[in-house]
Amino acid sequence: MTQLQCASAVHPAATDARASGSPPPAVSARPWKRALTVFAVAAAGLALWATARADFLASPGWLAAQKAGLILGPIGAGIYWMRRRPGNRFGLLLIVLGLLGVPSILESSSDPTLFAIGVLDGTPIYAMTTVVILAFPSGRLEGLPERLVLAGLVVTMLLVVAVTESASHLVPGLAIPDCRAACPEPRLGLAAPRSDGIVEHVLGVLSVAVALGTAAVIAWRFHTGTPPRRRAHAIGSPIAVLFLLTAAAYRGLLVFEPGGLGAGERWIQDWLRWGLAGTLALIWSGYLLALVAAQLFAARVLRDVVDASMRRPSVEGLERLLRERLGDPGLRIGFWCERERDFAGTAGEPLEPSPRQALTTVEREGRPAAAILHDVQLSDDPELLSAAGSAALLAAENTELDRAWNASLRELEASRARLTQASDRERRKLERDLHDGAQQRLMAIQIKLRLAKDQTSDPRLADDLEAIGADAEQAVEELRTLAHGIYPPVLRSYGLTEALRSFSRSAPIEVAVRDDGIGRCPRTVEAAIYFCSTEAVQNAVKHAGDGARVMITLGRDGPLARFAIADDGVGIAEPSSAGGEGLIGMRDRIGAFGGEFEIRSSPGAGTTVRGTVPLNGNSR
Amino acid sequence: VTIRVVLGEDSYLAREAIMHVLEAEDDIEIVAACSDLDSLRLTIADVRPDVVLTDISMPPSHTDEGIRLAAELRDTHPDIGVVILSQYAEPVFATKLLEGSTDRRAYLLKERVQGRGDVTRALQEVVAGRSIVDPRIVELLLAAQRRRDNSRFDTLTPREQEILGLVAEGLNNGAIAERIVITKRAVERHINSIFSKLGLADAEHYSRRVKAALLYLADRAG
Repeated sequence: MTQLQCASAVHPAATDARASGSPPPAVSARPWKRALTVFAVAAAGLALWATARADFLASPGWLAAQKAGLILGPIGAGIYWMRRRPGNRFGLLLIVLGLLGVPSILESSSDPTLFAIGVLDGTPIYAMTTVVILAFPSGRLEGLPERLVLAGLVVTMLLVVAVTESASHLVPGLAIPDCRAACPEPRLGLAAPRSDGIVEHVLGVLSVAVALGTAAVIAWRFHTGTPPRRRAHAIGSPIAVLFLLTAAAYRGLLVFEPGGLGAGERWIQDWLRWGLAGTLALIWSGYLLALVAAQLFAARVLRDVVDASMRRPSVEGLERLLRERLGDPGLRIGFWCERERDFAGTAGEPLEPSPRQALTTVEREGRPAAAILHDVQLSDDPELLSAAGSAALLAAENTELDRAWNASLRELEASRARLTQASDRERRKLERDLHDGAQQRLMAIQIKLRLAKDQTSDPRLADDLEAIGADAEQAVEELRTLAHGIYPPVLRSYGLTEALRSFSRSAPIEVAVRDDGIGRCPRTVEAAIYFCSTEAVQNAVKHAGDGARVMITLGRDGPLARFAIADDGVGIAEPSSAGGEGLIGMRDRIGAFGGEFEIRSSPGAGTTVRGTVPLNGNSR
Repeated sequence: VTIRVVLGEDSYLAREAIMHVLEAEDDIEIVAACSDLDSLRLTIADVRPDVVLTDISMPPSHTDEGIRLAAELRDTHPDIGVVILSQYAEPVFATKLLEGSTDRRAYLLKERVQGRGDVTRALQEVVAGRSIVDPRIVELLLAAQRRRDNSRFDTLTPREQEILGLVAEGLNNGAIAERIVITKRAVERHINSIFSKLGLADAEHYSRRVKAALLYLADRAG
């Protein structure tokens, strides 16, 4: 498991891991958004009402729906974009497009001046539509192709303004599919449409070029983009591309046939004009879907990352997962390094964005915590990045917590082993002090008593000395029993098998010891198994019942010393409750040396205590 | 004849007490006293005593140095006897001492020192090529036997069990007869009966029967 190179980047104690870079929770729309919504609904209603009543139009019903859609759709989608991605200007562009659709209501007026204004509105709508298409999904026009197309668009618009007289011809053709008999005569001091003007031709060709160029930019972006960007275009751009291709075809048609197609082929022209009006009114829907899809995708990626976090991945593993899911091989995860005052990658290296890369940071409690270095295209999906960053932070903290947990667990085990070892050492020392110290002194006293007794002629004193000698002998015996219980000398000298055989001789139950070749083990291991076995035999004496026999088996399993104490007694229903402190002591002793211990019993089947202790482990 | 003894004992108190007791004996001469295994080994090679009277545990490891020394001497100086003075009333140490051969080996508990005669008798027996096991050890083995449901052992009469214990202690037939106040012939009869009941060979050979009896008791108990 990889640890963070810069430990200060992570504060495992902090529990509030909510990244402040994540999308803000949905709050009620701000007042201006509410006002805008009300205005858009009102404008759409007006468009429906006015257009449906314009009896000079060929298809007032369809046109009413188209105009209402052109206003309500972009504004609604734009408000949603702004709410979900406050830092992205694309929503604003959509709203502007929707607002530009409002004056086109005037097209439904039979008043020539108002009608002319409405018709002229087609030009900014067209221009804004192109800008929106180009700006999806980042809200910005940054690349060279985008700028070229934009320049072409600007030139086209300037030409339109310059050649205002042609606007009356140009724009209605785009905006209004047809009038029933005669459209109102635009009256803005404009000249009648000139269909043979050279500027008109240039304008037509430029329009086709801008439309095709825009479509090409979208296609190129789709071709070269990261998976999230391709997904965004696949969902958001088809209607836009259809619109652009239709526009190019229609303009191309007008370049070659300025007067329009003849009556027999008129239906092609009608189809194109209706297609143009329909796609223009529906472009926003693709962008709305793309946003929803991006959020669904972010949720899926987040779920994968969280799933992966459950398996305690290394930060590198998480990095690999994100690289794969986001299709960005250069993606890197970093954590804030307080010492360096900067973000550091998984290997401790600084995160330096290359020109095509951007850094998305995840903050916690207002302080930088984690960062993702990624392809600049991924900036389209801020919610994805901040979610991934938060998950990475969480995963890294989990890893760090695991590490800290394991470290303290190891420390705890080592400390327990040290305690047990110290207690064993004390036991051995105590035993030796009793055997070699106190007992020797008692022996010397006995000898002196004997000598004193030999020298006295007073029979009463001799009797007293004799009695004191007997007391001393009793004391020696008690001392010996005591010392043996503390640490049996046979265990120290000859190991487990002899010590347990020796123990079995004095046991009030029949105990057999089978040695499958345990040999000599480290002193601490021998002590642990010895006291565990004697405790188990004491338990058998208490619980196994009359006539029960005990078999102690000792052996080795590779690097483990193995022991089992089995009785053929009555057994107990709840082995864990029997034995009480003795059992806990056994568990502690064996556990202190990294050993395992289990006790099995059931009524009628006797009781078996078995365990293993590593021979090398943390012994001695 | 004076028995030349090298004493091994790391406790100053015990060493002084043992020397004090044995100085009073005419036929025993303590030629050297050592307090650890290495110096004891060197001294034995140097002065070649008749018997080594030694504590069971001493530096360097404070475990069973006395027993190990006895095993070494079996190879290097088979003619030197060893009397272990032990603070451990553990049959295991006695059986370890008598492994290989029982000749010239004795296992006594330290408290025997106060009964001056016990140590002296042990030294004499060992010099004579025989062996002795502390009665307390034999008693422990017999007690363990009695706790067992052991049919073969049960076929021994109480008297025979008593005599088996005395055999294990290293007493000869005369001493046994004296101890339990019966005739020597009666002792021999009992011993033949015991050894045939237990299926033990070598009943005739005195120096091996101690071991046979002792190991029999120890094995049955283990």
